[in-house]
Amino acid sequence: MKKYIVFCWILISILSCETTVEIDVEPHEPRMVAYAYWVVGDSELPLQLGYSSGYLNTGDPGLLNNASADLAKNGGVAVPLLTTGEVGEYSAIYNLEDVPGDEFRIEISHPDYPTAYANAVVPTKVGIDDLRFVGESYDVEYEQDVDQYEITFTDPLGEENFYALDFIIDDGFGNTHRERMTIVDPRMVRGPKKEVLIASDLHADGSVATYIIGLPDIEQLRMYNEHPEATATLRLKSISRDRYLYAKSYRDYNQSDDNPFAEPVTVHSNIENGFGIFSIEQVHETILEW
Amino acid sequence: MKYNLLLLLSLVLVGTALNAQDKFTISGYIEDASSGEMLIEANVFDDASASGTVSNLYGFYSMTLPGNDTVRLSFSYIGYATQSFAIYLDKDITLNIKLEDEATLSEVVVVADEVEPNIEDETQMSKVEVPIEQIKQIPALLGEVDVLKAMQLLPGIQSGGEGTSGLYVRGGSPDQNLILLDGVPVYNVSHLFGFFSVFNADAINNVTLTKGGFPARFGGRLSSVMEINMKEGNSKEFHGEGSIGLIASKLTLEGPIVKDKTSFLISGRRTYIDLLARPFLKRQLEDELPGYYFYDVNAKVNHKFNDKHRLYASAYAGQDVFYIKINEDDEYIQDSRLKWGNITSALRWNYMISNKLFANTTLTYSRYRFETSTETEERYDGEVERFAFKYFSGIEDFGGKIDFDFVPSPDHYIRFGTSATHHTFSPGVLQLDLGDETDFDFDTLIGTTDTRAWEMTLYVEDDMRIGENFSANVGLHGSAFLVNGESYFSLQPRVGMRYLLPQRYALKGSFSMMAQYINLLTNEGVGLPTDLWVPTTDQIKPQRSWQAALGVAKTFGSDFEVSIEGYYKKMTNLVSYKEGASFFDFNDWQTKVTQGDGEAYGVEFFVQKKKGKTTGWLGYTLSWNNRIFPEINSGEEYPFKYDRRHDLSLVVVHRFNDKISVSGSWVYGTGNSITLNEARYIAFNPNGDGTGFNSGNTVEVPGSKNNYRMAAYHRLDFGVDFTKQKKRYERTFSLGAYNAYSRKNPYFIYYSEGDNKFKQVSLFPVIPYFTYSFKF
Repeated sequence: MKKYIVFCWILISILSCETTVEIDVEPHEPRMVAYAYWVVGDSELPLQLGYSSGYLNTGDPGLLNNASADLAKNGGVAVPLLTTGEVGEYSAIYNLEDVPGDEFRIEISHPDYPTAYANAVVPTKVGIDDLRFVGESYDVEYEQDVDQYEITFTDPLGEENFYALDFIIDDGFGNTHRERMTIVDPRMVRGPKKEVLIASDLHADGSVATYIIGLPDIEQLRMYNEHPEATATLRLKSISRDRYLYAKSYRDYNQSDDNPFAEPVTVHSNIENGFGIFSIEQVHETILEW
Repeated sequence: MKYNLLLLLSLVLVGTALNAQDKFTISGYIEDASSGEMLIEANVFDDASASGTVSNLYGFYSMTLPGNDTVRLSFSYIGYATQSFAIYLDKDITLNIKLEDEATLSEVVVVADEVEPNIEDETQMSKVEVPIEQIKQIPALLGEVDVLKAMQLLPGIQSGGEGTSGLYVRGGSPDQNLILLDGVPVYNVSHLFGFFSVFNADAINNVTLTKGGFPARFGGRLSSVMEINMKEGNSKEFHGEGSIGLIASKLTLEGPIVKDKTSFLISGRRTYIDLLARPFLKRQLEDELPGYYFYDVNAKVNHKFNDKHRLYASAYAGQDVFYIKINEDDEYIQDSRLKWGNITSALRWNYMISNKLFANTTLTYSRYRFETSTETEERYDGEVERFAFKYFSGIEDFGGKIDFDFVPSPDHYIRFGTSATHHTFSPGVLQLDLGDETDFDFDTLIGTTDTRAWEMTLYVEDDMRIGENFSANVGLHGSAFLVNGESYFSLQPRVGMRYLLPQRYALKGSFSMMAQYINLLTNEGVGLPTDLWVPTTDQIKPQRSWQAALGVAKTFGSDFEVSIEGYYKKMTNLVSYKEGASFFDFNDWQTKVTQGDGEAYGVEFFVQKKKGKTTGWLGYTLSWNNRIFPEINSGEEYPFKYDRRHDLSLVVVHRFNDKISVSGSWVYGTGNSITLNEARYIAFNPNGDGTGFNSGNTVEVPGSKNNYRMAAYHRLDFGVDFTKQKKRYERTFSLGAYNAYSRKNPYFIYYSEGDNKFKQVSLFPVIPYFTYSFKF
């Protein structure tokens, strides 16, 4: 198909007259880029800083040093996020407590860029109520056996809630990695990484949410991870709306990156005067028996 | 509410029937005297009562007037000599009228003063009509006369861009136009990626486009209804016409099968770029042979049983074919084809039940299909390896409808009817043959399977006159759509009003609600034939709109019709591809789309001159057109790609004498809105194991959706026709130029990485054309 379309374009191009035009695009004012993904319970809170560059500028975007960043809770006293010594990396030593509704704000300033701000609220923690094996299936795409599980959790009523789900294998030697999951329920979709599923409570506000997910064959996984302390953990994360939108848009962006016919994608950001994402999430873990 | 409306309507019907008892009815058909072709919307006017009516789509008229008195009826139609009759009315009369073309009269025979109703006499607003003969004289790209391109020159109707055939009517998108060819919907109106429309002007009798104030008989689309009626075929004599142009030739033949009873028309057109280019391509491309052509055929037969019964059968078939054949020394053979096209047909029965009641029953069939296929055969070491794939999508409709025209009195023209259409949507299926067999046998299906749906409508409307100065068209359109066990219903009130102010300024207003159950998924870029027609489903809600318009109209002198209209249109549940989605994947189409709202508002100014040696129009539109989708542009409102602040067109046709006429058109439009990237940055994502970040891709940041406006579009076209009457036929040489001052209008803009610049591609510099046409 693409061959035909490309051929048509070539045909049109031959017939057409190409002209370089000076596009009157407003020059882009470089802005700061900030990424902070924090988990309730953490005591070290990392922040990654960078800067953007104009699309037609010759300079590339990069990492940012010499910025000052402060963290404030509920409009209170600010705690500084200090450089770690690595380019673009900052962090604060701070206990992120499990108090749903607490609002955190980071303010980042640098002499060469407009000051950037972002807010994030500690979400309500939602746990997995039930996880039970319902049968076996087969993943056509990856050509592997799949164990199907029914996962159930209770969505808080009257709140806007968003979730992410991943499946972590700890091999017992201190190494962890994510395993791929399968899903056919359109209410839960893949995130930017294929190993993460995301969902909103649009279809299940205030009710018991039930999804059927596919995990790799547990017996086979166990064979590959023989260490007695090896574990398989399903994590249900309560994430913010911004984090959910970022995950969806970043996934779409990556998927459409090499497709000239795809509609343009704006990657979601909640950084005022900048780009990136600041989010706080709660994690509930369920260890599978094997 | 529903019952109240029905009760009110019943009272009107009964009241008018009772009132009509001391009145008599004159009815019949109005036709062209030389060809027998029915004249649509010909005017009938009674001097005594100062009331009038028009003939319907089938030439039928009916007027009920006070009896036992003399009435003076005038029958008129643009380009035809008016005929008047004084009749003592003491019974119902059938009066068939044959109007003579002014051009065929040896002298101008003034039968009566012209009493044609003007624009201020019509209740209907937001309706445009351009005589087909005028359309034929407007200069066109490569000399190919194009009905849709002519329509794009009217206010409130925009083209998508250089060369495209799609119509953007009052902020709507092309799928929101109901384009009816002899009452049958046509789904794809473009040939050659939109550079030409599928309608062959030689086979067309009449074109009207309604862009607002929709009467209740229309429904199913949000933005416009375009009615294209094919000629019926000359029932008196055999005639033909044709042309030879730079890229295509066409031929139309028409004549009686049984004189004054049965006539036929057949018209065909084919391009021959592929045939002309083949020798050059063979020399340039040794192993490859690409080619492209399109063709279309229109045919119609009609039979008049008697004054009460007529039967029509019409059909259209057209297809674009793009192909590449590769043969590398018989070791590698490939045949690839890209085909798309429509087939439509209609069987229509006109029945004059009484002199006040006319029925039209129609059976329709319409199919649009897009198909691409590739077959390859590779030979090595005596073995043959085959592979084939075929992808197709499309829509197929079977339908039936019955429409009634009931004319109980000069003050009421009531229409009512019902229809049912069965749709089959094929939203994209891929068939594969991996070559296990010796013959190609597609056995693997990937993609969505067919969806079937029923669409039903019911309507009633009354075009009424209340007093000397006030008239109104009030109606109700109901529709239902049944798909996959889901049912949608819609009741849509329609009101159009006119009040005649002093000095015959007509103040017009209208309000209409519309619902649309089928959607076109389309890339907002070029008009690729990959456009996909999909239905409303349990997940995709019907598109809906309401539109209000207010305007003033007046005829200055006897020739210049002037109108100014302001409108506001609100659209909900519009369908668009999600960010990042495109045609090129085989996921369920419902996962690729999202729904949102839109609004369009503006003012249109129109001056039109239809009569005399110099004809043409000036149209100007000032408009705004925005969209808001929760899942696009971060939920922020953005301008529609075709948000065009200013749109101006000037069309002039001047006929010096019977031998020479000149024409010219100039258009100006604000540039289209597109999305350009503004910045880049590096994205960082958390490692799954909680060990910090990993750097992701460099993210390119588009500005807000449609953040950049391309340069304004303007273009001048002109043409000259030299006509000569030969012994047995009339021939015309047409010369002209498209884009006469070679304006480099933007077609699209892309980013050139090598130069680190955005570049604009323009399609057409000045393109001269030459066409030879003949008539006999």
